[in-house]
Amino acid sequence: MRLTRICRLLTQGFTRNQYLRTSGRFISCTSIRSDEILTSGGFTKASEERDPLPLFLSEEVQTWLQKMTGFDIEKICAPKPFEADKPTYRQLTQDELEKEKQRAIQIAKRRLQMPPVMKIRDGSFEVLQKDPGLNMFSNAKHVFTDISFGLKDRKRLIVVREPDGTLRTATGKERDRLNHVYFPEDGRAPVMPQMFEEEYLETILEKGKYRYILDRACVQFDPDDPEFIRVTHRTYEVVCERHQFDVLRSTRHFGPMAFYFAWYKKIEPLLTDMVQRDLLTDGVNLIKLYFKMHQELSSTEVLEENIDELHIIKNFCEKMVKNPNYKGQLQLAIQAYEAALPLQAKHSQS
Amino acid sequence: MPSVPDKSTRFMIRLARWGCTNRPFYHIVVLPNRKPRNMRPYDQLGTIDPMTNLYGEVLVSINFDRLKSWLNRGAHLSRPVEHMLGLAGFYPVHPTSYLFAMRNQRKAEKQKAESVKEENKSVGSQS
Repeated sequence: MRLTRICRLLTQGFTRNQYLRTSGRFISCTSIRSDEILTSGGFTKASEERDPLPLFLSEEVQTWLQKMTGFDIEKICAPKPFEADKPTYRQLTQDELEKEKQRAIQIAKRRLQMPPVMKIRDGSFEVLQKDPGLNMFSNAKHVFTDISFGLKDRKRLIVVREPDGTLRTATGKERDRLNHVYFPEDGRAPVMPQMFEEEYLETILEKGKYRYILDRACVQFDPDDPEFIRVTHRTYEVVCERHQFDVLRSTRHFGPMAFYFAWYKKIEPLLTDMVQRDLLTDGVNLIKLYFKMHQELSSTEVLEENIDELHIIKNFCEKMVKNPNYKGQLQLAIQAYEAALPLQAKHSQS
Repeated sequence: MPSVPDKSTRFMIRLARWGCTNRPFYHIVVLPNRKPRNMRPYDQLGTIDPMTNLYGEVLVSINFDRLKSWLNRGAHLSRPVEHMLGLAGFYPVHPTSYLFAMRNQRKAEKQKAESVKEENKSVGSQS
C-alpha cells in the first residue's frame, strides 16, 4: 500500500499516458531486504512472530509497569548537575502550597513517561524504478527529501537515485540521518556518539552510569532503532547481573526494563529484588505481566483466586522457576521476608 | 508572432546560488524570469547541496506541496530544476540527464579501451 502511495506522489504532475510512455522500459517495482545489520540480542528472533508494541501499549500492562516503576518524587525531581539556577523563595498560603505540590506532581508524572518498547524496524527499501539509460549520470548518489510542512519524520518521503540509475526509497539509517539534517532534534548528535560503541559502552557500564546511558539513548535514537535496542538491552543485562534495579526505580526506564525481563523470561532476579525490598504488590504485577505475555504457560496454578501476594510469589517460585540458582535466591528472599514478618507486626503495634 | 516567446514576466522555479567561492549551495526559488538571481524570492521551495557529503551523497530537499501549488499557478521550471525533478521521480527523466549519462558511459568505455591497449602494449614490450 505504501508503494502505491509513493508511486502516486511521484507520478503527480504529469499525465498517466506520459508516465506509461516513459515507464515502459523500467523494470517493475521489487522489494529488497537491506543489508542493515540486525544486532543480536534484539527483538530479532521474536520479531518474526510477535510485535511487543501492542502488548506494551495495552492499558493493563501500562498500569502494572507504572505501578512497578514507583513514584519517588525526591528522585524524579532531584536537581540535575548542570542546572545551576539559584533557588527562588516565595511565601505561600497553605492552599497555594498545595497547588504548587500538585503542579510538581504533574511535572514528575510527565517525566516518568516510558519510552515505547518496539521490535527492530524494518530497514528494507523498495526499488521504485530501474533505469539503465541513466547509468553513470553522476558519480554521486542523489538523495531527495520531501520537506513539505506538517509531515511526520516517519511518514516523510525520502528517495535515493543511485549512480546506476536505480530509484529507491531510503533505508532506515539514511532516513535517520536526513531527518536530522533537515529537522534536527535537540540534543541529538548527527553521528552516533562514541559512547554507544561497544567498547566505550562497557566502560561506562562499568562505572554504573545506567541512567546517563539510557537517557542519552532516548534522545539519540528512535525506539525501534537497532542501536537503541542493543544499547538498552545491554544496560538492562548489566543492571540484572549486578542487582542494581533500585537505580532505575522511579525513572522512565524501569517499566521497559521490567517488560524486557518478562519478555525474555528472566524475571527471577528482579522478583527477588522486589521481595527483598518489601514490594510484593510490584512482584505480583510482574508475575501477572509475565503470564499475560506468555499465554502458552498456564497461570491457574500460580495466580489462584483469593490468595495473598506472598503466596502467589511462593507458588511462582515453586512451579515456574527452573534455574536452581535463581530458585535458591528467591527462596532465601522469601524466607527472610517471612522471618521479618513478626518483627514488622510488633514494630507497627508499638 | 515572435519566434521566441517572451518569458520576461513569467514565474520561474529556478536556482539561486548561495554558498561562497568554491563552495556552491543552491536554493530552489520562485522568481520572475528576468530578475536578479539572488533577489529576495517570492518563495523558496528547497535546497540543493551539490558537493558530496561524507557518505557520497548529493542532498536535495524539495517542498512538494509548495512546488505543486506554484505549478498550478503556471510557474515554469528552469532546466536544472527539471533535471532534478526528473531524477527524483516527480517528472519523467529529463532528456539531458540521459545525454549526460550517455556521455559519461562513452568516456568510461573509451578510458577502459585505452587502458586495455596500454596494458597490451606494456605486456608486448616486456616479452
